[in-house]
Amino acid sequence: MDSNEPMLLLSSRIGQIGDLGLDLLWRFLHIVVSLFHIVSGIFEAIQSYAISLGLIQKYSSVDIEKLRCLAVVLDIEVARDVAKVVELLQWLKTIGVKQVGLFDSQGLLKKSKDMILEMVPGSTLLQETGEKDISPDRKEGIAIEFISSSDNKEAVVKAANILLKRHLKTSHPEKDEGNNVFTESHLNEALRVVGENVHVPDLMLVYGPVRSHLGFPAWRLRYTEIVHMGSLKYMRYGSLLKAIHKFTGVRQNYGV
Amino acid sequence: MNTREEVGEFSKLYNGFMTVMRRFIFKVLCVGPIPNHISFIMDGNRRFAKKHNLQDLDAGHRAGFVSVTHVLQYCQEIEVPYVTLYAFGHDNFRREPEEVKCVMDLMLEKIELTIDQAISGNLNKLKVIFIGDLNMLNERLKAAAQRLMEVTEENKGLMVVVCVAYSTSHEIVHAIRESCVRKCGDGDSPQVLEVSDIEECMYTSIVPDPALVIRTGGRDRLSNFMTWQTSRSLLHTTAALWPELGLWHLMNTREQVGEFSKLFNAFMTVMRRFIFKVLCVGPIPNHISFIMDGNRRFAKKHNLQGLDAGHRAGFVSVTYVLQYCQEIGVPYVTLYAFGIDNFKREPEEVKCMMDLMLEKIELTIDQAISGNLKDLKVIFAGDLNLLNERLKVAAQRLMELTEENRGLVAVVIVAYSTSHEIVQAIRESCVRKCVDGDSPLVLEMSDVEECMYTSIVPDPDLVIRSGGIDRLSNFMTWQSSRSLLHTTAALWPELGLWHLVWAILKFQRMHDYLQKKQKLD
Repeated sequence: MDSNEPMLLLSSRIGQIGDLGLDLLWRFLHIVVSLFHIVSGIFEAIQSYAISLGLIQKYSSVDIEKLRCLAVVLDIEVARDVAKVVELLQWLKTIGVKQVGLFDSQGLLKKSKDMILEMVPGSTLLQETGEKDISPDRKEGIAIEFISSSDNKEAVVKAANILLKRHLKTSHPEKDEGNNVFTESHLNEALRVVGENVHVPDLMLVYGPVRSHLGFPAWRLRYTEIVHMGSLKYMRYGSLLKAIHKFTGVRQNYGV
Repeated sequence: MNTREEVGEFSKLYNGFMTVMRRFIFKVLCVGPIPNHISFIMDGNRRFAKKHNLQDLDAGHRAGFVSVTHVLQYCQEIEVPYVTLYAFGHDNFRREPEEVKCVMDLMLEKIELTIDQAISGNLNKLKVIFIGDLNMLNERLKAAAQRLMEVTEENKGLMVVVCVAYSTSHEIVHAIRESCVRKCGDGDSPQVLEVSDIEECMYTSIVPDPALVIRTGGRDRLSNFMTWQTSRSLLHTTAALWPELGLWHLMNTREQVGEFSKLFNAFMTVMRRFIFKVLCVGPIPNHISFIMDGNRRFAKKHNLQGLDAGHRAGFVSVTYVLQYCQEIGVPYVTLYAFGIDNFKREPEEVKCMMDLMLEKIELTIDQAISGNLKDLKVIFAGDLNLLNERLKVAAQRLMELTEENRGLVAVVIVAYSTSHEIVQAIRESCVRKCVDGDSPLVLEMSDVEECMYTSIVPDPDLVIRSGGIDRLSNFMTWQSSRSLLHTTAALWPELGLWHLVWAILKFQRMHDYLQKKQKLD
């Protein structure tokens, strides 16, 4: 019995040292990865400044017509910085973007929407109107939409309740398969009734530490190109131009 | 911070490292004597194609050509002056005419590719010569071969002799005939043939005798190849098929290589487990989703002919990825195999993919029955009614067989799209509400989410899309609000260990932030 104790102690000590060793290796691995990101970030910053100064030929013109609807996802920490958001919108307007959806999960931007609309000259609030809405004064301006998490799953559930009511109105709801009520176009319509915009954004720019859509309306997100732009605080015009330019070169198969 | 370019750079670094290692190994090897002339009998292409179920007649030979390029590169690096490749023998003309034509067309294609390379100046250190009875080849192939010989004639460096329409017996007879004709033409010298007269007229007179003959495919004979010239050659056979021939096979005799490659594999497994142990110090995703994109582009890139060639290569990736996830200890894995949008493809292609899926499911069922799949539970999610009867039945059978298993839960998503899933879930929950008389007729979020195809797994923590594309393509947009969306430029069949490790490292860096987001909800 006594001889077992020191053996057990020894093996547990060895185990602890082994764990410590692994821990150190893991931390070292992450340090290497972080260094890689730092160096990579420096190169990107240099490229971005070069693009802003117009030094790189291929980014000097962007075929903006391809980008019909842009979505910008903002992390809540960055959404508080309204001045930066306004600056971003001004850049987008300069590039020629006509329609922007600003999303933050908590709806902070919705609360500041009047202030934002005021501070960005030529901006209007996007209304859920018909497909083509080209009024003369809209040509130069930018239409902004404010989206939050409540427009995602909760909106779909509200729309589902509308469909439920329609289904109940059919003569035998328990037996009916519901082919006349439960289709994608019916759901689109129901979402419009609830007051949601169903336009699908072509490109989504994510400003935040992580490339995640953070709860942007799932129904609209299906074929959207998702690009991670980094932090809003250090946003760069060159990176924005590069992301939009890259989007215009993308080809979609839609599964075919 | 960054997009997919970072993985491209990571794999470039990795390749750079492997090249440096390889050059170092060669430097060590070159301390001892290096063969002056190595001959390769490139056997096993057809068996390789059969082993990997590659459909086309020239599939194995195409894979073999990739081996040729590697072997020539290694020989160049080791500085072997002469290499002979036994490409096509006289006896091979007795194969099916269709197969012979296929191989000839492939040869023509590769020769023309090489001519382009030579013209662009990429082949300065390579001199290519074709020997054999070139009159047996069709006109186009013969002209192309002659052109390649002309284009590389002035090059210094490795001399590659490609033997086509060759056999030792034919060569000897041809040499005798040739030397007889010369003797008759040359009035002065005595009318007696010497060995040197005959050897001068042989196809292989342009190279010294081979020091080393390497035959792949595990066969112990020379098959009518250079039996005259190999009196002093080391005849080495390796069990590896020609397309499987790699760096380590060039080193030693058969037994040692067999053990050496076993050791090497065991070493790689230990290294891999160790890397995973280090990785597991940090948080591991609870659920990883894979959008398996890029199979068709892979097939196009490597010129694989069948409609399902890319997808077959993709399935090999699936087995590796599941193995790695099991070893790391990830509880749930989702694989986006086939989307509803994909039904819009050509009917032939869709049928091909469905047949392939059925074949692989039946293979997995056999594995499950033999008890090899104890740690894997397979579930199929999606609108299974859109699949054909046989496939649906097979899928259900596999689900039943693996239902009791504990371990990795692999959810294979077929006939799925987020929009379809949401609509179906709404329909299902409405129908349930109607049937259930007691509860109030109002749908809650939980009612809808319960009816979704993916209700059996938690939301994914990490979504990995291969193929370099930045969108979700109608895949789990509802469930991925808090997921890290990672794209890698590698095509799905090219996805490997390092891509997975990189994605998980990225997840670990962002884990705290994602946890915080979840708590806020």
